Amino acid sequence: MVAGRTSASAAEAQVFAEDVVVSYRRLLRRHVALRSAGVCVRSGQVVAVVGPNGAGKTTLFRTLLGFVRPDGGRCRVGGLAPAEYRRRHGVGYVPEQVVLPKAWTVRDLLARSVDLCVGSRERGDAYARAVETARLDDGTLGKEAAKCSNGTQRRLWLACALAGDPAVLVLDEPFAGLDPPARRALRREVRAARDRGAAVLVASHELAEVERVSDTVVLLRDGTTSPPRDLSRSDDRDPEAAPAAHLEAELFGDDR
Amino acid sequence: MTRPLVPVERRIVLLARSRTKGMGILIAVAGGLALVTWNGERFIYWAVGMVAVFFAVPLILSASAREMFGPESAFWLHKPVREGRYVAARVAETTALSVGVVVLCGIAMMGYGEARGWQPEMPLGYVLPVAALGSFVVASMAFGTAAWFDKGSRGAVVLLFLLALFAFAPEFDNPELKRGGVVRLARILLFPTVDLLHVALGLTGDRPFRVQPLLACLGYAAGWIAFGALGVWRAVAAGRMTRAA
Repeated sequence: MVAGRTSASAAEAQVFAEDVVVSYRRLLRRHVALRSAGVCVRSGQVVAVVGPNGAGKTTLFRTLLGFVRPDGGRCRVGGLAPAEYRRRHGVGYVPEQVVLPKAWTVRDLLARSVDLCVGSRERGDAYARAVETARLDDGTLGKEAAKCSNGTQRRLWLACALAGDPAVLVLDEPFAGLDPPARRALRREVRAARDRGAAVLVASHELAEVERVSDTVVLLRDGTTSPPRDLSRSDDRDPEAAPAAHLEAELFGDDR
Repeated sequence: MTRPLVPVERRIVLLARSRTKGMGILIAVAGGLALVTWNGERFIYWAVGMVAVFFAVPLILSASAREMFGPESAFWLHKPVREGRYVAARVAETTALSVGVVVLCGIAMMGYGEARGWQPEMPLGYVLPVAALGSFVVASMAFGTAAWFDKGSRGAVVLLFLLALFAFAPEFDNPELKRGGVVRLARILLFPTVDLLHVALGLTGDRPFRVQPLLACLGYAAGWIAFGALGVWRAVAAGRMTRAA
């Protein structure tokens, strides 16, 4: 299969990108962030995008969210242009860099997230679910969110992203800064989202976590994706035969 | 219809709380100036000076480019929210709070003047609409500049305000003064101090009230809002939203 091409068609995918090219202008030079990137996520599927720093993972995600307009290629989310889909339906998004509005308490942010994507009758239940997802006590709920620890901020953002049960989830380095219980909870949330039919995209350097939550993995290097690989053929008896070990060797070299 | 979990008045309170430091400094500076500059005479000049200080309120409350387009905007924009509506809500909340705070500051200033024995020659409430109109204009300028410039947007507004004070100074003493082409051009670009003065004089009865100065102020503000809307459109089209500003 050609790089940047996906095995599925746009019609059957919830998230679809093919041969995507994105470049930025930096002063007088043009920097190409994505040369030929493609990814395809069906409903009820978790796809991981892995690659070294600067490979273009965040740019690919921002393109699929409609925050960046590609120079070339095709992108569709739910059959719509990514920006239009986001504006109409919303996308559960956790960015790599978490920056929260000043002065807003954790409780206010959770409640406002619910306001923005849930009908007025279901808001009470959705808010209670969001608080449960964030797993924060009453004291923390009343704190200013921007002054909370990095891990708390990430949990809060994830709970806000999951509010309203979005059909598309885009998680950029979601495991960074989380302690083991929070990681377990995140894995549970990702699986729950998949089970209710959401299309989930995850970027992470933590390949063991990727292997645990994802169905398929796509390698991204120098702005170019490789064909997707199935992660369900893991051999539990031999850790070095596990996909994570292979991925790490392939991406970063094998110094075993 | 059920109320949202975070109603607009709560959002305005949160906006005010996010600027407590800046507002605290401004109130301290304004209070100090009020004490130092009060001499019991020519109250109207003292009041105009104080109103000019209060015009910093919308600048403090206005959203920076980072808040409108930077990484924190991703928190709101991954929800089913249109970029234009998100920015418009933020600008409307800022403007409403700015006008409210400036009017409250104006009332406090009047109270201070009365407490110091000033005998009002006209109803005090006449200064307040001018303060509200001026703060609306400054809030519009702050939005217009922040939509285009990542840094220095507030400085640009202060510069346009100060240049207007110098450029139009002769017209403060003689509001009917007719001036040439360069000043007319400056009227389009700089803060509309002369038009505000005409509105104030019209309200106090020193001059017949005319609607043109009022329309000029509103038109100037509308121009900045349109300029800002164009900046937001450009930011969306260029993929600047949600990136570090």
